[in-house]
Amino acid sequence: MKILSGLIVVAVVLLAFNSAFMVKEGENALLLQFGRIVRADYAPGLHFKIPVVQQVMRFDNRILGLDAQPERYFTLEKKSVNVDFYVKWRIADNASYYRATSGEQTQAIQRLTPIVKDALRYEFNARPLEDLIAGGRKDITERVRQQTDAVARKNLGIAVVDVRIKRIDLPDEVSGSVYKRMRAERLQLANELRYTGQESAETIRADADRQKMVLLADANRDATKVKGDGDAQAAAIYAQAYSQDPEFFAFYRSLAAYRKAFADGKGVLVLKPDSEFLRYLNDGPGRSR
Amino acid sequence: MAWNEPGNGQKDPWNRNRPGGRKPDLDGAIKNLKARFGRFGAGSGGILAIVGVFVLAWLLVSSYTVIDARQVGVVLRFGQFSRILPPGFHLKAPSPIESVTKVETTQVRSISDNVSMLTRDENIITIDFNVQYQVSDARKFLYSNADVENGTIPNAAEAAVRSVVGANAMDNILTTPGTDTPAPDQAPVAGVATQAKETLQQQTRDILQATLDKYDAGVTVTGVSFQNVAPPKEVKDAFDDVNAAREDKQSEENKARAYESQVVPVARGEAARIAAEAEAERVERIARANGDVERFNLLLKEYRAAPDVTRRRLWLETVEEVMAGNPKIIDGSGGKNIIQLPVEGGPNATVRSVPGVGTVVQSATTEPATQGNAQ
Repeated sequence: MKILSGLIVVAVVLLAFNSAFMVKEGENALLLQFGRIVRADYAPGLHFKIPVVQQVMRFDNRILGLDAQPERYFTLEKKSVNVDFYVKWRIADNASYYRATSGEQTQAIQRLTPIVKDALRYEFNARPLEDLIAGGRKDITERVRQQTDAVARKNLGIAVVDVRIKRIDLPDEVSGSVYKRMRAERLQLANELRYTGQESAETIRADADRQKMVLLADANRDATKVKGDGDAQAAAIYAQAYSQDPEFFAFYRSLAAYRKAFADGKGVLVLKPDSEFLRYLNDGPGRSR
Repeated sequence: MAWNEPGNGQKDPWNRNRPGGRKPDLDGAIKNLKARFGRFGAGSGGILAIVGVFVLAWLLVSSYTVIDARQVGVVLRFGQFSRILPPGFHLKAPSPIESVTKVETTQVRSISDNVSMLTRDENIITIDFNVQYQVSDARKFLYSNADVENGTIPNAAEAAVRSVVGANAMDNILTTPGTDTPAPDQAPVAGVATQAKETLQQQTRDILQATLDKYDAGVTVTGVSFQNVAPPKEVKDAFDDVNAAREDKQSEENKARAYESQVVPVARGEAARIAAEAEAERVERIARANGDVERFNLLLKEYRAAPDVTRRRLWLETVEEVMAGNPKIIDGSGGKNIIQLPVEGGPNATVRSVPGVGTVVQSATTEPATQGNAQ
């Protein structure tokens, strides 16, 4: 009896526990009755169900990631690129998600990946590489998101929150030619720098020489002017003095010239005996006049 | 309390503090009960007592929580978000009614990565970037995204860096701007123009923050930094050569400037010297003129006083001086004599006639001079 009543107590307790379930924050749940969906949306909290008959299927209600392997696409100009992207998605409709994937995330990702890849391929094929790398990327991914969101909601019960491109890489064989081009551009720049360096150095030197010449020419010009000024003033002073008695000046100046001319002692003077200088020499003792 | 010392939230034996860590659940408790039940055998009173003790202990242990100063606690009641607990000691409804998850909020978390990327002009560069972030909303951080730290944030960061790099030409990202900028100093960090780098980092940070807000990640990006932005190693030597060329250019120009700064001042000095000499000459000319004139004026005064005597005196003084300093020959022959000059004449002596005097013989010189130019 005791054992029986104990068992009954235990069974009641177990049934009571089995008739309640908790949905945690970040989760959502689906209630199944023999495989049939009874209710597909539970907010977090404590909920009740018929024990044993009904089962709870829990889903992750958070934003989930899809980080696929890089895919090779061709751009509008038929350049091949490797594109690495990620997708953020969440379960939008538990019932259709459960039907499509039986609640398996890996299955959901397997179904979602080709949808995104096809949409991306379409966009890539329609655009030149530069647009894809540069500013156009935002609206490209937004369009991809809208398209895949529509398809995924309908087929998988999945909402696509975001599609983003992590990398666009050129395949190795193309990278080689990019490197070659980069190298050539740098070489050209280096040459240009060196030549313009020489050019400006030459210019600076020539300018220095020019400055030097101008300085000296100006200095000489001014010097000549200054000297000329000295000459002019001296001439004026002489003229003013000598014009007092030009005849005496001529005499006086000539004497000075003779002195200077014979100053070196190398002239040979051949005198006639009757020269003025020898007058008294020839006369003997002259008489006074 | 040995299990729960403040300052270390990791010792609670039931609540491991990892988000998503195992919680003691109902099933576990029931198994436990069953095990005890089995071991203690019959006697419902005994069983009740054991269960009572067990439940009491459970209530004691799971009715409070201690939140460390660096953390906040997120409380779920029956799995539903109930409240955020600040640091300190808090009572709570016992598990499994309420459970607490602790999240570090003051800690700055960071991720780093090295990537090579295409720029807008289809060049390739490599970037080491580092993103620092903090949890700003613990609830969102825990329950909005799966794998937020290892998936969402690194992915979003890489996408943000890539979109910024892709929107810029390589020369905006690397320092290889026009020739008018000074050569970069040889810092180990590859030349990134500080201004440009700041802008790129800011843009990346803004994009990343917007992205994470869109995902309700509950984090604030506190910083994005590009540690090393460089051309790929395959072309690094070509880029280095450009830097070397820039140095060369600079040194050529410096040499030329050195030449200039030597030549021009020297010329300036030369010019100053020329000017000074000219000035000196001018002054000297005038002074001499004044001196000469002074002397002449004195003489003139004398001359005016006694013209004849002064004239003769002057003349005689001059002739005397001239005669005294030079050899003299007195020739009264009226040009009929040959005069042998006392010079060292070579064998090739020329003979010339000087009008009014005799024939003069002297040693040959390069040119027949009228003045005796004998050595």
